[in-house]
Order: sequence, then structure tokens, then C-alpha cells
Amino acid sequence: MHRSCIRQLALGALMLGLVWALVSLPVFAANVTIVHWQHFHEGRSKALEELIKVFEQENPGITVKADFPPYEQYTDKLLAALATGSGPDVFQVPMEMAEQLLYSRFLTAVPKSVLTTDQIEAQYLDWTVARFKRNGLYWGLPTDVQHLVMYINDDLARASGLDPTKPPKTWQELLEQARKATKRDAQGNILQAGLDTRYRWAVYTSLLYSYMDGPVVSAEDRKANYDSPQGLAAWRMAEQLARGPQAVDSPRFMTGQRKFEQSKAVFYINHPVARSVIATMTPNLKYTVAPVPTVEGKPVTAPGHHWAYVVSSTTKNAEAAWKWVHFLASEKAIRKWMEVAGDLPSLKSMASDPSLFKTPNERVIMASIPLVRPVESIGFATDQIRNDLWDAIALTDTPVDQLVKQYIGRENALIKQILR
Amino acid sequence: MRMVPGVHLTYRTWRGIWAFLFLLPSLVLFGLIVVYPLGWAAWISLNDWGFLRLPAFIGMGNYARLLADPLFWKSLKVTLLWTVVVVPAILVFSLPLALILNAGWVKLKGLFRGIYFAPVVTNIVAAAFVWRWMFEPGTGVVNWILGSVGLGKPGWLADPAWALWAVMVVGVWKQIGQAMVLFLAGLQTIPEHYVEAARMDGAGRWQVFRHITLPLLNPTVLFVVVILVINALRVFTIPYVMSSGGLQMRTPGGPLDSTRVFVLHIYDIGFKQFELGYASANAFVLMALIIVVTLVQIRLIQRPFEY
Repeated sequence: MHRSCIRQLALGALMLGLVWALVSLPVFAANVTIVHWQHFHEGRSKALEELIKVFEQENPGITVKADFPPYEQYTDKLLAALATGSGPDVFQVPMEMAEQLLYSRFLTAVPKSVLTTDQIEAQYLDWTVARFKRNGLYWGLPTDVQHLVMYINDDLARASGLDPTKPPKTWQELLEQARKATKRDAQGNILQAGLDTRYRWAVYTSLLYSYMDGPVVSAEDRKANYDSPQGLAAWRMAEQLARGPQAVDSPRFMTGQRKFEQSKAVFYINHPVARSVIATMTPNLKYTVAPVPTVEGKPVTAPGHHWAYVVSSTTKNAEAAWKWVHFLASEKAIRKWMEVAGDLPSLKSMASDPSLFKTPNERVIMASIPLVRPVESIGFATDQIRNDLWDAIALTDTPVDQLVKQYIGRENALIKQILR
Repeated sequence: MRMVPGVHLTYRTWRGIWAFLFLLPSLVLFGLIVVYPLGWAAWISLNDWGFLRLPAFIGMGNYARLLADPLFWKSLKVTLLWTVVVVPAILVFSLPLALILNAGWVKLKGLFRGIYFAPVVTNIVAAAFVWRWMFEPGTGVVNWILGSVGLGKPGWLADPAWALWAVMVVGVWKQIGQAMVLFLAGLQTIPEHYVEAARMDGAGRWQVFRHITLPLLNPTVLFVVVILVINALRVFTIPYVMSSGGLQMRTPGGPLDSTRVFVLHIYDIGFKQFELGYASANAFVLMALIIVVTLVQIRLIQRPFEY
């Protein structure tokens, strides 16, 4: 009796163990859900949805739940969520916020099990990871890698007497060609913009990084330097483009609308990712991609910008989250980003692979990769300050030097606040 | 009175205890959702508190900082301009509308009341988007109408000189219906025989309005003005949607801070610059402003009367 009781107990324990092994392990594996946030973008959101399907097929135990807040509310929503402990596991952040985030409590470093520091440095282009390094560790992997290029509407350019195969090489040439292409009615209202300046960040950033030899922003000195003679020269060129009766665009013309995509502007400066927007909105638009103009006698520079995927320090699934991020920054995913969204590669092995850049426009983009000069802005809000400076140049008669002095004061105060 | 064995309390005391017990759930709720957050916000306002760094106590530092902040003064100026333009404009439109729609000779009152009230129930974000398109300088319907009658075409939302005026038009449009309904309710509480007696004594329409209707409508006028001024001081959605969003790629409150109302200023500091301590200090200044302005209005407008 006693023996049979022990046998029954042992059998019961064995059965329970088997049930535990069969049921609980798959349950653990299937329960991992990664919450992923990135701002909405016509091309990139579509690419991410495709990548989620691929990743989930390859990793049956992990589900990725993506959310795409609108661009303009993205950082507010993200930081409010992080501060209240309800943030996502994985999210993208702009490179300008690196300093703020690396010294916060919100991030976790790339684990060695996913990628070592040496592997990251060997595989990725230096400038796409440099700002996310702290204490010998990397805290984010690159995404949305871009540099600025110039778009030319072929038909409008020809109709204006310009040759899109001979794009303006200097800012002075761009100014002259854009003036020639600008059309006005009898009252002087613009009917066709020479240069679409709606994305003013792209225009003034191209100007500043081509005019200024030294740092535009110095983290060491905790200040912006665009009140230097070269910086002021850049803003004076902005004045010629945006102010007065010879301006090549106006904030009053198609306010808030995509002028280039609607064939209402001849030149446009934006990232290569803009190709996916054009392909979605106006697939028949014929355009030429050219390097951004430079200053007479200076080499061409292509201001580079990227975002990074990071993992929250409060995630309960750090390993799975980093696995997902590593996948997003892998060669397979980058090919998808390039194909669907128009992104550029962050991997060294891909940056010089001609098979990835087949069309003439793509070859121009590839040729600009070695010319990248990463933007140095500190804090996402500094973009707002420079946007306002551009608006002040376009909308007021205040001397440019005075405006630059006023707005750089605001930016420097913000930089000091961030880096203290 | 003995309600509990061994405990001797007066009826009045028992009644007080019961009253307190009945009030307790509301008091707990009020404490949790009003007093506690308010106290917490007051504490935050005394700290250098950002989303991305640890807080540090700085006493009145944030309050001293705002006095030297040109954007604080700019947003205060914009908000006060909004208040002194929008509130009287709503009164000027809504009170005559209410008087007309309360008059016996008007047909289809229900229909007209519904039409004028429609903006109140319209989603403000959607409405602000539509107004933004209407104010588009080149292709908007507003400039088309102005142009067709030979008037100039302002840049509206693209022009710092005109942007606030465009946004204020929407602020007035949105709130006329609400004030009109309140005035209608007030007018219907005025006993008809007062008006009849005045007419029998030979009073004209203006005299009836001036000496009978308006004094008896005073509590409603006070209520409407107080509500409208509070709404004006904490306006946010209309300037936010009309000055940014979509493809504007512009800082909310632009161009050049011309529509930067006070709550937008607080939002910008808190959620764009991530300075919660400084944003809280600004929010307390706004609260103090609303309390002071409301008390002054009650003092100036309230006229005691008896039926």
C-alpha cells in the first residue's frame, strides 16, 4: 500500500513535469510582444510593416506591435509615455537627442550577445553610430540614414529654359536658375516656385554645412557657431532665396503644401527618402537627383542625418527587443528600407555596393555617401529655433545679422540647458 | 441623543457626521484628481525638472526665469489680445442673436437655433483644419471672396501680422452658439409680466431692453463673460491646429510666435523642450491670472437685484 502510494505520487509528479515542459515553455515563447514606436512616414511605415512580417516568420515566439504617431507629436508622446512608465519597448530617436537620452535613465545598451562594440564599429559607418556611444557601449543602432540631395523637376526646368542634366553646382548658380524658374502674376504673387522651401531645415542645413568649414555646433563649447562670418554668409544667401521681390519661394505660396510633388516648384532639397513620397503621390513625376550646391571653390558636402532604434530600460524583453532592433539594422532589412522607403545603408559593406544603386539618380546618391558631413545639432527643439529664424528672414525686414544674433542666443541657451 | 450605545452626541453633531460621510466619496475623489495633482505640480514648479534628467530643487528659480523670458511676455500679450477681442466679439454677436431668436415674431426658431449652435458641437480639430484651408492665401475661399469684391488678399496664417486675426475669427465662430444658448435660457427666466407692465407704462423696445431685460439678465451675462474669459485665457486647440500640423512643418504658435497663446507656450516648454518644472511655473501663473481676472469680473459686472 505504502509502495503503491509512493509510485502513484512519483507518477503524478512525472506527469506534472511533462505537462509543465510541454505547456509552459511554448507559452513563454509565444508571449513575447515587442511594442515598437516610430513616427509615421509614407514610405518607412510601409517598409516596417513588411519587415515585421518577415521577422515574425523567422522568430515565431516574438510578436511586434507597431504604432506610428504623427511626426509632429512623436517626441511629446514618446517622452510623456517614457516618463510615466508606459513607453514602448523599442522606439526611434533622432540623432540630435542622443546626448539628452544617453544621460537619462530610459535606455539600455546593446548587449554583447547581440553585437559587441567591436562588431558595431567594424560593421557600421562611423557617423551613423558615433553619437550613440557612451562608456564604451553603444545604446542604439542606426535607422533612417539620410543625406541631403537636390531634386529637379525635369519638365518644369526645361519649360523654364534650364537643363536638368546640368544642375547648379554652386548656391549662386542655384539662386540664378531658381530666379529664372520662378513665375509670378501681375501682382507679384508666386505661381511657380524656383526652389521649394517648405522643408526649410533642408535648405538652411545645406547652406550652413557648405559655407562653414568649422563646426556648426560645438558640443565642447556648448554653443552654435553660425554667427561666424561664414555662417552669416550662409544666412545672407538664405535671405536672397527667401526675402523680397526676387525671392524664389514664399511662405504665402501654397502654404503648408508639397509644392515640388505637385509640380509647382522646380528645385527641392530633401533626403533620398523623399523618393518614396514622390512615388506614392505622383508616380509619373520626372525628376533628376543632384548633389546639393556648394560654395564656389569648395568641395561638395552632403549633410547627413540619421535616427537610431533604441530599447527602453524598462522593457521586460530586452533580449527579444535587441534581436528585433538588430534585425532592423541588418543587411536584409536595410535592403527593404532602401527598396520601399528610399533609405540609405548604414552598413559599410553596402555603402559602396554598386548593385544597390542602379539608376542614374541612385548613382548620384551613392556618390554623395563619402561626402557626408553629419549634422551637429544638439536637441530636437533647436530645429524649431532655426525654422523660426528662416521665417523671420522671409517674413520681416529686420537685418539678417541682427536676426541671427537673436536666434543663436535662443539656441545657445537651449544647448547649455541640455548639456549642463 | 444616543445612536450608538455608550456614545452621547447631539442631533446636530450626528447630522454633521452623516453629512460628512455622504460627502466623503466626493472629497476623496476631489483630493485625488484635483488637490493632489495641483500640489504635485506646485512642487514640480519649484524644481529644475526635465523629462530626461533628475530633478533638483531651485525654489522660486523658475518663476524668476519666466519674468526674464521674452516668450512669456509675448504669449501673455497674445492671450490678452485674444481675450479682449474674442470675448466682446462673441457677446456682440450672441446677445442680439438670442434676443432675435427669443422674439415671438421669428419663425423656424428651432432650425435657426440649431444652425447657430452647430459650431459648438462640431469637432474643433476638424473645423480648424477646414478653416486653415479656407484661409490659405493663394487658393483659399476667404481670399477668393475678398479678391472678387476688389479687396486685398492678406497672407493670413502665413503672415505674422494677420495670423492671430484669422485664428480669432474661428474662436468667435466656435463659441457664439454656446453663448447664444445661455442667453436664451436667461431670457426665458425673465417674467413676461415685467415686460408687459413696462410696455403698458409706455416704455419702448430699447427702454425695455435697457431697464428690464439687461438688469434681469445680469446673472447670465456674468456667467457667460466669466466662462468666455476663462476659455480665452486657456485657449489651445484652435491656434495649435491652425498654426502647425499637417505639412506646415512649423512651430505651433507661429509664424514667428504671432499665435503663441499662453497654453501653447506652456505646451511648447513642457512637451517640446521637456522642461516640466518651468512649464509648471508658467501654468501656475496662468492659474493665478484666471483667478484674479474672474474675481475682478465678478466685482465689476455683478449687480444684485430682487424680483
